[in-house]
Amino acid sequence: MNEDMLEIMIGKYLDGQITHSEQQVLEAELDNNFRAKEFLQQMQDLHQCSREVIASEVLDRGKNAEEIFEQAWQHRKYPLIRIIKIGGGLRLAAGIAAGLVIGLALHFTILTRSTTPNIQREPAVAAISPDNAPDKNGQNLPSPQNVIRNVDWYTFTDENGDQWLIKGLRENTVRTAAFQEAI
Amino acid sequence: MTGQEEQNESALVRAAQKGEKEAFRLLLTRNWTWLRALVYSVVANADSVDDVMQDICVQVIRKVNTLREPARFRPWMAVVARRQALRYNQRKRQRNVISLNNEEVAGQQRDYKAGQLLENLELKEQYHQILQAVKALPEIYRQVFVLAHLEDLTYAKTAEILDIPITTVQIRLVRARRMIFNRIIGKETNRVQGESI
Repeated sequence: MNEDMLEIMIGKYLDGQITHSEQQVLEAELDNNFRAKEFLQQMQDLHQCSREVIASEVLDRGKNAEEIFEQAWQHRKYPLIRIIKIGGGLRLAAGIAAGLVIGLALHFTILTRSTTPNIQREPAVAAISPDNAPDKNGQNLPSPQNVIRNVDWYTFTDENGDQWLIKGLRENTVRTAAFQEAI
Repeated sequence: MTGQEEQNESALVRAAQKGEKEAFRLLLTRNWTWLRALVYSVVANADSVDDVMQDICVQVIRKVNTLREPARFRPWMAVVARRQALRYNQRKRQRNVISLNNEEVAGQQRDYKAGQLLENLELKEQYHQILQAVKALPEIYRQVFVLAHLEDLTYAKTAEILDIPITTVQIRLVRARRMIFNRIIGKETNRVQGESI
């Protein structure tokens, strides 16, 4: 048996992993080889000592498992503020998605502003003229944009006996109207 | 691991994935000894093991949902443990570059303290020599050596935890013993033939 094989056999023997047939081979070798027997003795001492050393280092120190587990359980939640690290592909996708959202938001904002009807301010007082006055057939009705709703009309006779037609808006703004002889 | 044990552990993993505290507790405490041994084999400092163990527990609790095959819980946890231990080493190196010399002295004193269990001075010296030799092993050999000597793990179980073939466990163990033996008898070398295994 060569040296490497002897070490493997002795190792298996020490670790309790040797098979019956392997043990027979090892015993035969030990009977015939004094150095092998001496080596086995040294390895047995080393094995025993190593077990004590490692047990002392690893098991005979520190807190018990339950205690450490309980502490870990308390810390199981992720911290509230956490730096999220994302890879290259994911970062690219996130960038594209963010760009898309911003683009859509801008698009709709601009669209909304450009299509908002230009509400022309109705002159507070419309010129009163036959053309402008509402007729019975409604043919000369102003366009919807120019309609002033909720208008109160008043008549007024001044010192000279002239009659005025006053158009009063609900906003409490009362302004003079144009004088018309015909009224 | 027997089929029954494997089934039980897989069931515990599934329960843990649903967030059951008791399942986590059982999974961690049942594997505690070899886990500690594995951490020790990486950090090579008994005083650091508790800190790393807590980090491992937190990581296992948080990340158990990423484990797709409950039957491979042990190798998965071994990877988590080793990663946490390496991170700990890295943090420690960054933190304590200046005080390294003082810590080495303190570490040696602690090693002696562990040997106080032995009354015989000669044995105590031998104890210290072995400890230094174990710490001087390359990590892959130290892992196998510490696991094998701590818990009487079978080669098969060690292979399962470390996710390596059984023959690799055998070979690493033989080489680790040889390296420690050589160091103790004064024939110091951490190099062996065919070290790539």
